[in-house]
Amino acid sequence: MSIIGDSRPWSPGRILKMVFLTIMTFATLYPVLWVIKMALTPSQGFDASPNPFPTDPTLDNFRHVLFELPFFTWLLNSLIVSVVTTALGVFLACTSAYALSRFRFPGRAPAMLSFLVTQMFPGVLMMIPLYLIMDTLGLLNQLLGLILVYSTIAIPFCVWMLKGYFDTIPKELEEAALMDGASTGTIFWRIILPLSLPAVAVTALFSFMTAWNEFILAAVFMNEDKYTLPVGLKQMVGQFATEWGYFAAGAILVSIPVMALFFALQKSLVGGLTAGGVKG
Amino acid sequence: MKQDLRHFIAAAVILSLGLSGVAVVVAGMDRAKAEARSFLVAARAAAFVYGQEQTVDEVDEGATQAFFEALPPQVSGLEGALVLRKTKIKAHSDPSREGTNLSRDSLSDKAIYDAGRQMKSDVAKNLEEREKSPDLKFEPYPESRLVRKKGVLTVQVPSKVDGDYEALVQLEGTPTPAPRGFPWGLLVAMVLSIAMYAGARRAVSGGALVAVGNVLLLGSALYGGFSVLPNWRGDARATDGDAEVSLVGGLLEAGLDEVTPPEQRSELLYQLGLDPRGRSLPVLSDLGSDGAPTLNAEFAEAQTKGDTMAAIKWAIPIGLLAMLLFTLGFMGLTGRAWIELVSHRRAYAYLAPAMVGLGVLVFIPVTYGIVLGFMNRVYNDFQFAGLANYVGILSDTNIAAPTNFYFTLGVTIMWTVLNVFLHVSIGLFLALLLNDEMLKARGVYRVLLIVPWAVPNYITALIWKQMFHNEFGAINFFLAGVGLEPISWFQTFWPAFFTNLATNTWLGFPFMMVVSLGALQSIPTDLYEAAYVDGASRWQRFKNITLPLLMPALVPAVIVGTVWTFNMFNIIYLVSGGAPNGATDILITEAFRWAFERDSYGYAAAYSTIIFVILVVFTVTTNRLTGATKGAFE
Repeated sequence: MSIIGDSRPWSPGRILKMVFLTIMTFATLYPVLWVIKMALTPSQGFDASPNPFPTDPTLDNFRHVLFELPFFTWLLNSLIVSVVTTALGVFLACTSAYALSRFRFPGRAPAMLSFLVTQMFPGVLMMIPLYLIMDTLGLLNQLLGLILVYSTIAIPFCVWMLKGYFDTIPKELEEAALMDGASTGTIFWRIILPLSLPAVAVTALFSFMTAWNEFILAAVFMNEDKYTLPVGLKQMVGQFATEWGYFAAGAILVSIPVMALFFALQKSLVGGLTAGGVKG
Repeated sequence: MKQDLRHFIAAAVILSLGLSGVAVVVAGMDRAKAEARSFLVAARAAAFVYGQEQTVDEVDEGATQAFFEALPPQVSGLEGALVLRKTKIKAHSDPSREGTNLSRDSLSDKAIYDAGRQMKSDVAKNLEEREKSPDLKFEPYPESRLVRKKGVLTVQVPSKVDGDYEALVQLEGTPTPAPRGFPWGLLVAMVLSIAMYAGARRAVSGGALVAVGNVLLLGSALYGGFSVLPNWRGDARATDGDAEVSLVGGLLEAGLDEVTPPEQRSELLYQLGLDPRGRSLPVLSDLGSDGAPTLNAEFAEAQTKGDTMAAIKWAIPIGLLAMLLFTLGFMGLTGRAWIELVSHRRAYAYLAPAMVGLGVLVFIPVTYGIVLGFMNRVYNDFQFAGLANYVGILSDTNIAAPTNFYFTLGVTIMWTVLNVFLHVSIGLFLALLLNDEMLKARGVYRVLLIVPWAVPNYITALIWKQMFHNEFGAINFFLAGVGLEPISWFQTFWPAFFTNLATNTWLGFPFMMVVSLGALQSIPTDLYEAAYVDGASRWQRFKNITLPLLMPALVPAVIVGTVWTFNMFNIIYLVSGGAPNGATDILITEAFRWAFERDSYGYAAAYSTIIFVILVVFTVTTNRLTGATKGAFE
């Protein structure tokens, strides 16, 4: 309870805030509502009326996308790729971040810099060489290939975020555990990791999104039988004729898992993203 | 005392084992190629026989079947062969299947059918390409397919019948070319150099000994590269060449000769001997005086030259590495590095997997890309072009053209600055509103306002593009509704730029909002209370407490946000698509167009390298100025 400001929840200032936030929220959600409307409207045209609420809702588009397209194949591919990418990316990022946070060793600063620098590589520069490397390793048109590429794309950001978070965990905790005879492994798994759950959750969300949403590399590396959801979905948007109803239904189905994760993790998101930075 | 000898031995062993390792790998690949060649040559011969049977009256029906029956002793390891026309098996090594149709239920039959369809369309595409650039020498059978599965090699070659490639020949089996052996010369050189080094130690010491060691290592590397490896590989290849000559001789006897009109023989031999990738010269030369094919001398010579170049390319870096290790070891540095490695082994072990992944899948491709920036692609080969690409990009001063580098750079900077400014100001403003524990429904607002972040950005882009559609877009309906003229969004620069900006602002502010919110929540309330008691105004509290305490979280987020926005490919590419005329393209989409639309990969690579340099300079400078990551390195 703060001594500053009005303590009434319905003070004029707060009502003004709520009005403003409501307008902002509506403006933000407007395109989303509109997608939902298209998904529930039977016609495949792009609906031009500014009214974002459906007039004659049906689930036909969802039925078509789910049962008449290879949706479940794409979904399965996407799920495998995203879940394994998340597990691999988070695990590798945790161990790397822990090493960078807790140990001082020659090559530490270059290692951190190299993680940072990867964020600046233009993807275009890598596409053809990466294709050749994947071909050489026999990883083209293999889910494993996508998993490895996505993990390495996700790792640098995760390492920096986790490292920042690990830095905020007092060293005294570990020293106490060391005195009690705990090994480094135990300290990492039993002390550091549980305390860092918010940051780990955000890292996981981030890796998952990287894999779940990526479509250029997937389109280049995979053949039709191994398409992931984004590539499958993108096919519905043709150069001339787009089946907007199907596309909208597909877009909603693709977005639902990420939305669910966001909502489940939103508390951690606020703390996890910034804790490292604040300590700086 | 003995330390330096040990280092020399280590360096010499690394040198010879490294080179032998490379040699064994290369030999394995040569062997795989030789396997494929014998089948490929036989399949091409069979395709020719079948083609003759179909188009020339004098050739017997059943010539192909007879040819197949005579094949097994000629082609070692051959297990099955067939000719397929559309869905009908015209000839088969098992005569009982001749004349039957492919079965719909058999997976292997289906695979053959699919391969036939694929090859037919590949041939059509190839012919089309050939018409477009007649001066290019195209390989006649680029469409041949080689598949290796569990040790069984399958080769498929299209066959021309009545002017159309609707037939195919398939050979299958487990070929066994001559084994490759081992380049023992390298080990001999190793032992000799070690003995010579041990001898030299008695005569000289210090700097002179380092020089002797290095000369010995370099000598072994050059000896390996110029002599041992090319000779060893050449011997194996000569055996392969002889095998091919005798194979073709055998094929001629097995029926190829009978169906070949004399005037076509030399062309046929030329075609049979061509390298599958069409890169090098034909293996066989014209018929000799006795009617038998011979090895093409030109081909053998070019191959030897190529082998030496390939060996040198490996021998020099491996040799330099060995020399470096020896010199460092002599100076006692490797020992120290080893001690560091062991004493920090845990840290390195934790870090290693991620680093290996980054190395293979990020740093190698990027290095490759940077190197390509100094190359130019001429048809399918990259040729060294020096700084030509960079000069071409940077010296073009026609700044008004939309594809000009400086124009695009200006657009990119404007795009990045405006986006980051809008992201931060909207995000921070919303965060300040939401950072009020007494606010009703605070959680609901927070959840709903991060929705744009959760929607995949390609979906966002496609939806927003359509919202800006001239005739069917919601935005123009709004404008009409409030009595304004509809705007042709993608016809002129500013409206098109605005569509990109609006889309990216929409999807980018939630990130900044969440970062700001987290930072705001971590500011202790007693700071505000103390300031309040001291009589500080609301603005003073914001300026003197909130802003300074936000900075440590916001600055890194702004740097990361800037880098992301600078390279934000999806939005530009999918929303405005660069319209009008590429004017709203940013550097990254422009690089993409050079690579994949204007087919100038070297230019695109140089472009990307420039982008990379700009971003690194930006990050390093802002980092210096703000100390954003200083704490992280402590």
